[in-house]
Amino acid sequence: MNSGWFDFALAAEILPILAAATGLTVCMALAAFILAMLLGLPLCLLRRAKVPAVARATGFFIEFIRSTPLLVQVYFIYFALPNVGIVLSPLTTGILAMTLHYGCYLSEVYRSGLDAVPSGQWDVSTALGFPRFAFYRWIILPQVVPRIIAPAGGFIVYMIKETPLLSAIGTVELMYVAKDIGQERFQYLEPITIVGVIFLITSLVAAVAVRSIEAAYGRAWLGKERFNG
Amino acid sequence: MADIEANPFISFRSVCKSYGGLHVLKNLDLTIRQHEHVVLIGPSGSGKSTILRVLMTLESIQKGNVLVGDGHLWRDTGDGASMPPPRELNAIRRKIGMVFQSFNLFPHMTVLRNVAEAPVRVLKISRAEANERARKLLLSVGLAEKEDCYPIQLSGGQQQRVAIARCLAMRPEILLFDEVTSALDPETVSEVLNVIRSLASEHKFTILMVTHQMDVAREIGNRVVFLERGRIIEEGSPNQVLDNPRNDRTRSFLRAVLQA
Repeated sequence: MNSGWFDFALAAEILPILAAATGLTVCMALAAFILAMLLGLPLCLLRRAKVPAVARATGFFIEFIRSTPLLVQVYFIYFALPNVGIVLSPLTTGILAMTLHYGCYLSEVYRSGLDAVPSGQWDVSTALGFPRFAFYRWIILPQVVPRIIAPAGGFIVYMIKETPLLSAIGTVELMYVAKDIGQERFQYLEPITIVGVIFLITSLVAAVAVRSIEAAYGRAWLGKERFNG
Repeated sequence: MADIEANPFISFRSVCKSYGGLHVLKNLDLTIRQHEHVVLIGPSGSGKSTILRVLMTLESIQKGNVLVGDGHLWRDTGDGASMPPPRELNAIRRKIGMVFQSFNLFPHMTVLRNVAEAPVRVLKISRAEANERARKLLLSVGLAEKEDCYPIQLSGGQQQRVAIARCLAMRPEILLFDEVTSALDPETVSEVLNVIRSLASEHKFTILMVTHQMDVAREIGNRVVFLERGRIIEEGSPNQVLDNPRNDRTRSFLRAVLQA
């Protein structure tokens, strides 16, 4: 048939299928990102725990996860965990693996955000007698969040782009669907090209969204970088 | 001096503190009676700020006792010093308020909220009541019209006055001022000093102040304590210590400061 030239008719035909898969892919990445944000905070706090054993164990866990490839973790969860009776679907595995992997990265983002809060805030909270939880909730968190929007937002862009990895275990995300079409029609150029363009567009949209959230949230007071001398 | 011994309000007894091998406080004994205004002076590294930070439990000590009122803030255990259990500790700590060199306002809160937040979260009084308390205090430090501003919008002197109001909102009996005018532009120093001056004139607070400004020490202090390398070298009335120092080291320190 037409080998080598881009077949626009085929492209038009498969576009709706790929668009549908894009929805799932983005939703998966978003779900994993939200869960990773939720996981990252306790991990970060545990790593700063006063009990040295807890802090060290958490630190080891974070470094272990960060230093091993996501694909290995995906394979481990999908192929090795059934040995101990834990069987998960490709979709669940994908979300779980990404949550775990990026939760560890995001805990480091939280850490950098916490470190950026001036030490005087801790001093004054002790001086005023703030209970620990109230202090973190009302004083520290509102100062950390604007500082981590940009770096954490970077991870969502990254996570969307990493989802093709999950096609390796048969998660029906964008890349899997594209490969499927390729195998069926013996034409890879069109589906893979479209997938590339779709990823480009979603990444750009996500990046713009992150930037506007950052601008909206940061404008209130983080605009100027000088407070408390 | 007999009076001080008779009615101690804050006392440091043989307090030692070191960072690694560096001794910041060496067997320090210091007694302060209620409503006294004590100014600590000395070269940097002399331990004067550390005294305030130990009192606020921002720093720990290795040895000795620190008493506030009739409670033990730090108790010598033989092989260290420990703080009391949380309930007792908070009761003592609540008597003490501290103002810092670097203001440390909450940058994400308005001026009003900066002052009202701790009463709401710590004393658990209602937001309305806390706001009322905060407004009165802001009025008294001359910043009533700034309540909706964020700290970033204020000058250093204004920020420090908010910090004082925030400290007062917790109704402490003891006020610790740690070089509160050192980070200020010269033209805003006086507005902060005016506030401290009026607090001192009320004679209802016990004040401990660290400063590099001898005129401030003279004006606010009932007693001036000169420290060097974690030891008290000389103490007495402002006139005696600042005008007729007995110790050579006090003399050379004052000469250096007054020349600057």
